[in-house]
Amino acid sequence: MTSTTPLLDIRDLTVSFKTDDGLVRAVNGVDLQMFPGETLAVVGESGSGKSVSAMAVMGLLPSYTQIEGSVEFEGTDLLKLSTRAMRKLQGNEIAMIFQDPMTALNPVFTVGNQIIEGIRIHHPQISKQAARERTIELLALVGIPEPRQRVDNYPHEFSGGMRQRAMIALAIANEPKLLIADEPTTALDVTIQAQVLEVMRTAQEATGAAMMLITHDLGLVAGVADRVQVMYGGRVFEMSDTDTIFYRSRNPYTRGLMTSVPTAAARTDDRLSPIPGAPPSAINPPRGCVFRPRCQHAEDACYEEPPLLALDATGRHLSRCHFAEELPELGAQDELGRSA
Amino acid sequence: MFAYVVRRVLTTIPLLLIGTFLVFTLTAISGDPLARLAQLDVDQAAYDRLIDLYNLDQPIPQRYVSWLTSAVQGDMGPSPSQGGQQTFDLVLGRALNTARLAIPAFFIIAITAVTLGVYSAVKQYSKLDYFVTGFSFLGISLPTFVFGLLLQVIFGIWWFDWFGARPFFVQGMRTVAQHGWLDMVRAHVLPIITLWLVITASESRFQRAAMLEVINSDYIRTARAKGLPRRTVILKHGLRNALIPLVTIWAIDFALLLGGAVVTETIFAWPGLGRLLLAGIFQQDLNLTMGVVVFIAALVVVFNLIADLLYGVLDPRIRYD
Ligand SMILES: Nc1ncnc2c1ncn2[C@@H]1O[C@H](COP(=O)(O)OP(=O)(O)OP(=O)(O)O)[C@@H](O)[C@H]1O
Ligand SMILES: [Mg+2]
Repeated sequence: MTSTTPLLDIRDLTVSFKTDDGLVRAVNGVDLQMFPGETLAVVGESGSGKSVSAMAVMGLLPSYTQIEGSVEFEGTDLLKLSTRAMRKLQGNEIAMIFQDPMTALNPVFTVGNQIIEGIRIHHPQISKQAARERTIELLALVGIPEPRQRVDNYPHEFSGGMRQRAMIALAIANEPKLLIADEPTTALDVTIQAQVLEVMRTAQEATGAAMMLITHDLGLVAGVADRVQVMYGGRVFEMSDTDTIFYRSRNPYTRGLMTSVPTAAARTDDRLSPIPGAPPSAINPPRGCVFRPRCQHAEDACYEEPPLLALDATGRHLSRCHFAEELPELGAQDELGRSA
Repeated sequence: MFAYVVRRVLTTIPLLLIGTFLVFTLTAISGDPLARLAQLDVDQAAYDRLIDLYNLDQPIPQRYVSWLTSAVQGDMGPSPSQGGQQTFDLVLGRALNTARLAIPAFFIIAITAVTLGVYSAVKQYSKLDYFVTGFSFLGISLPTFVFGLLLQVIFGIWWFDWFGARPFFVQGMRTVAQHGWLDMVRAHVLPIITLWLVITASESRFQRAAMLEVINSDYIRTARAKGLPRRTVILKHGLRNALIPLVTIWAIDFALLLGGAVVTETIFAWPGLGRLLLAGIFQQDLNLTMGVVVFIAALVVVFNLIADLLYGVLDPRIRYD
């Protein structure tokens, strides 16, 4: 899977917003690759630039945003595309599922019509009737009971979980190659989270799409992701396959994230130990390593910005830390967050 | 839905009773209709007629009850200040004159307010947005009479000085039947522009605020993420939602317009309801005042009901049962 050419290849992406308080540098030199059919988890605390990166791929950032670098999708740089050309990809080749299903659907149109609209805008040759049939199939696929009746419901007649299922149906309606899910379960009840995650996997299998799963929750990642990319302060801090991240992480921030996840910690009877301090300001980040002020291992060297080091010959494990090689091995105690 | 309408109409009855009672009492205690007669040289019979007409020998609550008893039977009584014409006919006739301004003004206002509000919201902080915001500020802060008089000066005096003709009439109403199409239009233009400025200013601000809220909402982001063209996103997904809160504003504005714009009608000598109300108040003509007030109250009730029903049409989350 990793030997093929990437479906999505983000190089040195930098996104800044001009605000009254100063220049907000939300994403700072991020590289990210996704390969066809794989699931990549993008993990990091609030404000680490996950959503902004995703919105840059979707072409949904506000017009006053300054974007640098490149976002190649199947070899075309999306940042250079006209809005018109970009629209052909949005919802068609690349689709997105958002965090809050309660507000993501338009309240004045039926769920079915919103999905039908998404199909017909990219496939005008499909008749209304055919698009409707396809919508009903999609609703069935994502587990909406009685889809033939439910297709004519308005969003407010759906529960939160059902609305997120409908959003998934909308996202996969045109069989996209890339599916971006930005915290798709965060706003949902814990009991429904697992179901919705399962629906996303079904949807992904049905379409063969690659999925970028953005989340805070490392525990969620374990069962789902092939690879994990950890972000902090608008930068990539660590990237590797899921097992390596969980068992052989070479980054203090990733390790801190793992011990701060409630579900993961509970599983090992360990005490919850959140990372002390708060994420850095996007306007005035700390000098050197942005994680330095919160890092247990920080030393004088950390006043220099650490490079993203390749820890193996193939570059499948990257970590941004001066001491990536020297960190102590993770003990059994620290193997956290791995779900059964 | 029918049950809802009936329920709504029934619930307005106590409101109307309280409202008319208050207006009746305030009008009755604010002046003595007999005092006017004292200035004229009339005989005792004239006094008696007025005392009898308004039951002035009885306490105010009883007078109100007798007024109400006739009113609910459709008899609003004669209007002494208007030569004893029936109040009902007077109000109806003047209401038609007011409607000549109100109806076209309403539609022009609604269309321009929606357009300006949507444009300035979509292009927030652009030059156009600042222009629209400045325009509404002007329209809201400038008193109606200042703008109305300004128009009269421009078109009635300056234009005449420069070009030797007046493009529009600055006073009075003209009808097609009596004056022909051209004069009818020339008489309507300035009062309608006056109403337009004042009401468009506030409506476009509401529209802008509603639209701003909508275009920053998640479902607009979803619509864009679907790859819909900008037009569809803004007009279909955005405006459709942003019109919902505007319906109430429209209803209030339309009711106010139809109820007579006192200042505008006075400036342009327009024989409408607003001036009729003024006449009733200044001449202590209780029947006339009450007649206009009841008419305006009925307008407000009816248009609020229409707004609520329209809400249900525009917003599927609202059910009437
Ligand atoms: N439109 C914007 N204008 C100004 N700053 C912005 C804008 N959008 C995002 N930011 C800033 O960019 C930074 C990164 O935001 P982003 O939404 O990507 O974080 P995130 O990793 O998705 O966090 P969360 O987990 O809370 O969703 C934050 O500091 C945020 O305040
Ligand atoms: Mg986010």
